[in-house]
Amino acid sequence: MGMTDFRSGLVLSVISLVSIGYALSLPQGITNMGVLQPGVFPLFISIGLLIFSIILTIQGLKGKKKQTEGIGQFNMISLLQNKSLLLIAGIFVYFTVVLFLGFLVSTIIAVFISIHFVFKHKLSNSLFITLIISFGTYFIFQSFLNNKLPEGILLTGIIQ
Amino acid sequence: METIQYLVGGLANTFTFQTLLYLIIGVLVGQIVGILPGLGPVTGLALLIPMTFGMDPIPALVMLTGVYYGAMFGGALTSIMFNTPGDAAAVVTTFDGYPLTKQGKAGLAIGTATIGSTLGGLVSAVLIVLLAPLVAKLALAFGPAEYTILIALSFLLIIGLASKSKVKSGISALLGLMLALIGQDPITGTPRYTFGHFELLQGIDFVVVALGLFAIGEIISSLENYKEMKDQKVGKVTKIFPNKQEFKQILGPIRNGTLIGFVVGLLPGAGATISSFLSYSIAKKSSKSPDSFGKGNIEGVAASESANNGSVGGAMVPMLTLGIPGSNSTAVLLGGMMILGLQPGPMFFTNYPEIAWTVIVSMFVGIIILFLMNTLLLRGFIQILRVPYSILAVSIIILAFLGAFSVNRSMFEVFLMGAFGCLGYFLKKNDYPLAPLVLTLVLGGLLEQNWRRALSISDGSYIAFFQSPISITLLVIGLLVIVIPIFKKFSKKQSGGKEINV
Repeated sequence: MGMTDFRSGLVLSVISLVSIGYALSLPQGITNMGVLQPGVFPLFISIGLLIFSIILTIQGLKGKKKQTEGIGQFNMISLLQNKSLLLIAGIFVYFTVVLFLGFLVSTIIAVFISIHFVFKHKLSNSLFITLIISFGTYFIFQSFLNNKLPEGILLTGIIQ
Repeated sequence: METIQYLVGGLANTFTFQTLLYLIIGVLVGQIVGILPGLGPVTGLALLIPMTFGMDPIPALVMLTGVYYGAMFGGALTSIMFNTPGDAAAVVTTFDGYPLTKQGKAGLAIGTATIGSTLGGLVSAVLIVLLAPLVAKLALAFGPAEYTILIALSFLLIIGLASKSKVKSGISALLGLMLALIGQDPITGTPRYTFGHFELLQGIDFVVVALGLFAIGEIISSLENYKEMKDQKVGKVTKIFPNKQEFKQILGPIRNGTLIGFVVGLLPGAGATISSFLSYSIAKKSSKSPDSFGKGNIEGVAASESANNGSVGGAMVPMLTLGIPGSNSTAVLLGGMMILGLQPGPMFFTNYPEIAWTVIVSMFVGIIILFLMNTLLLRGFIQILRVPYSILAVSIIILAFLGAFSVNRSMFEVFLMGAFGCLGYFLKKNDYPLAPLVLTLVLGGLLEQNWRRALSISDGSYIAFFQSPISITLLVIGLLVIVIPIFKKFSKKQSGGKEINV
């Protein structure tokens, strides 16, 4: 964890410094009526975060020395991380596609791609699962819970 | 007498068609999310909260509470069958549950877990009935200053107890507080951390954060163990109930486990996981055959399951009476209550006695339903383990999407949830506990409001925090929470690194 902690410590230090700057731009102190101004609490929290981030950076720096072994393990982990990164990218692509094609069409496409191409289920099974998940959730939310789902910019008025 | 009247009223409310239906849905969903590997009560609650929008508070809260303790029941099944705990609280159940499965005694382990969970849950519900009204009465003496210190103390406890790294716990707590600040300042109306986005003026909805951290984040992390989950085979389950001798053997660990669970559950940050470890180690020490622990001893299963179910009642007491959740599950539950327009705290039992007592009574009924489900429908639940994880993961992502979209019917919340999913994954991957973040996110606003109110009453003087005996007692406890670990560390160094029990 040494190197990762060192890096996260640095990133968090930067975030807390930005936050301190932002908090200082808000009104500080206590009014004559004894009311605490809106910048005080954010300033306290940001300073706290800065202190903890510096401690983490120092701990990470100490831990770095112990990280000489296990380079092969690092490659393995980074490979697995890529798989997760692919999923994150996929999730955001799905959310973006919903904006254009609406919930139903995008969900059918996304579920089919994931089930058939990513998780390698048989074509017939994939089609069945896709239809159940997509139409099931669509009807529960749209009809049963009366929750109007996104139609998409391109398909507005077509699917309803 | 008054309590009996409330209990009768709660019973009548629980047995209305609507409440009973939602109670069954709640415990069933809880049981299922508890069974499914990688999912736990928090994910179940996060996914179900959006469904409660616009619902009557009684059935909605009864359902959400049912998910919480239902998941505790279900968690044992995967621990025993697969050696894969549904959540951290069920880890200890794997120690003896899985060896029993390997010996062909999965049914006995599940039966023991069910008895332990049922008795643990029922006794802890009785303890809520006895303790909650007393704590609520005591809490009425709390003013803004006492509340500020109490909330700060709960943050200290959760940082101190929750994780291996206190620094990371602290960072997680501070991140939660920062998120709680986003939006308009409630007193002056000044926008804070909105960066010009009008969507953020109302603050970040708790559901969006919970779904991101616990549903999306969980799926992204569990993808790394996908191969393991895919390769698991479901074994056969035969004899479920222990015989008379075995039943006698598990009664002691169940009694101790329930009490340990309840007491530890009262502490913020401790909860189910610590209580199950503690109960297990005590059961081992007091057992006639301690050597068989870890090799398939039903006492170990009983101790662990009764403790983690006993802790549910313990965690409910501070949540309902003080508005302070003890774990991330109760923090999410508290968030759900706030969304329903309820503010747990000292006035909760006075302002909403009907809701408070119905929830407590529904726990008794729900636990009995769970016991029946786990004995009569056990084979059906085991079939759930055959659902491929791929289908589950895809369904959860879609349900999370729908939940986030339901908040404001806007895609902004959906993208925000995605961002919190990435944050949750990053935090989990790097050993940052999520419980402090959720707790501070839920209570951050309350902390600031009470702090400002206390100062406003005392015309800006900080002496307000040192005036009452309650404040001073809480401050002393807070000081001890900080000083004891430092003292322990110092003593350890002095003794050349040997462990010293303080």
